Amino acid sequence: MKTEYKKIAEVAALAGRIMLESHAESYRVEDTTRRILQTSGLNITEVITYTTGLFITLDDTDPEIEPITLVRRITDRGNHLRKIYRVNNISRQLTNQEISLDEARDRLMLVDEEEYTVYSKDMATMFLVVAFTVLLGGNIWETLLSFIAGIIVALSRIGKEKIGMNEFIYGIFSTTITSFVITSIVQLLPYPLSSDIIIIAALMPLYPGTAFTNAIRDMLKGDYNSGVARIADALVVALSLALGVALGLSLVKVVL
Amino acid sequence: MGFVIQVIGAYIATITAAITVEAPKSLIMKTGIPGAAGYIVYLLATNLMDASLATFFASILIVILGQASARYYKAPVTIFYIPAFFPLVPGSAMYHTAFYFINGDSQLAALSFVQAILIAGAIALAIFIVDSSLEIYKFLMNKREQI
Repeated sequence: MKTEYKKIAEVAALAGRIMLESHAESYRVEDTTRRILQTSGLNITEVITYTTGLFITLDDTDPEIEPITLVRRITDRGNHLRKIYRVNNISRQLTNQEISLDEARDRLMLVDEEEYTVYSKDMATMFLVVAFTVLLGGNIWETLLSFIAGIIVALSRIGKEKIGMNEFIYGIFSTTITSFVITSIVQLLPYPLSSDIIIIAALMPLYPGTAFTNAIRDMLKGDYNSGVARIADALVVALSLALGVALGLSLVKVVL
Repeated sequence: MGFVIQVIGAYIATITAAITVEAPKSLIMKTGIPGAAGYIVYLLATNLMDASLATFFASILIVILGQASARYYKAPVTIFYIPAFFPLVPGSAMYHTAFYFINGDSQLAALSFVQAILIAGAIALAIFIVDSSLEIYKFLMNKREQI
């Protein structure tokens, strides 16, 4: 029986780890993990999550049962909404007893499979920049120019992976290049174009939207620990974007 | 005509944003609807009032549509929230903060900074209000069932 409880705790820890690594809100992770733990039938199930860690305990008031505690350290985090969705579905099926525990664990192991290739995400980044130029009311020439901005942003992502930049440096790096190149092109072209819209659009793929939205939802649930951590995350990235734009624009002044 | 093109732009921007945050493939096309609808409200409202207030009303619609979609498609609500808020993000206010700062106009820079904070706050407030109302609704429904 003990091994069965251990198995449940491990499946719960695995589900929680995947969700935290995919930028899920703390309350969602705690809720999902607790539901999986409750399938054991024991009456003490405690889960605590921070953005960087997961702690779970499975215990019972029956003194015969020894408590099981698992801790998981979360180091790599990224935007993978798809994984949250799939873990959510698996845990729902498990708690409705549609699938067995072993099946759930096997499926959780497979969640890491990529649904998108890296290049399709780069393409999406490029079109995101173009679509934003249209959305902000850019004319046809500005839209065409935003393709270049999109390509620069997508290429800088490859640069990020090549030399392992952290989020802050990446934000500065990518926006500096984009704002410098776009402003230079606009100033050299004889047409009266506005570089503002294109640069604003080029900032968008880097904008910390996930961190910001989750921070609000975490704070709403009373998870101030995670909420403040995520707000700080969003502020650091936003600061790096502003710094990058400022750097790029002053470079243009120096060079041209 | 420009209006329609901007809304189409918002739809495509939301979908591409959904791909960059790896939303599930089967739901991508659906994530664009709250985004485009929110931007329609924003464009209509922005002529009448301040940008932050327009963002607030647009966000209210996004949050309601997002919650409805999440329930309908049985998916986490963040899948609909995160991409849909991209068109409303205070990107231009942030850019202008840096732009005016570089050009030595600290007064306009401060003004843009406040604008960026206000817009971000408007999005936060909309999420707070609608999510809390839903929780109260759920609580009351549970209470009624128990009686």
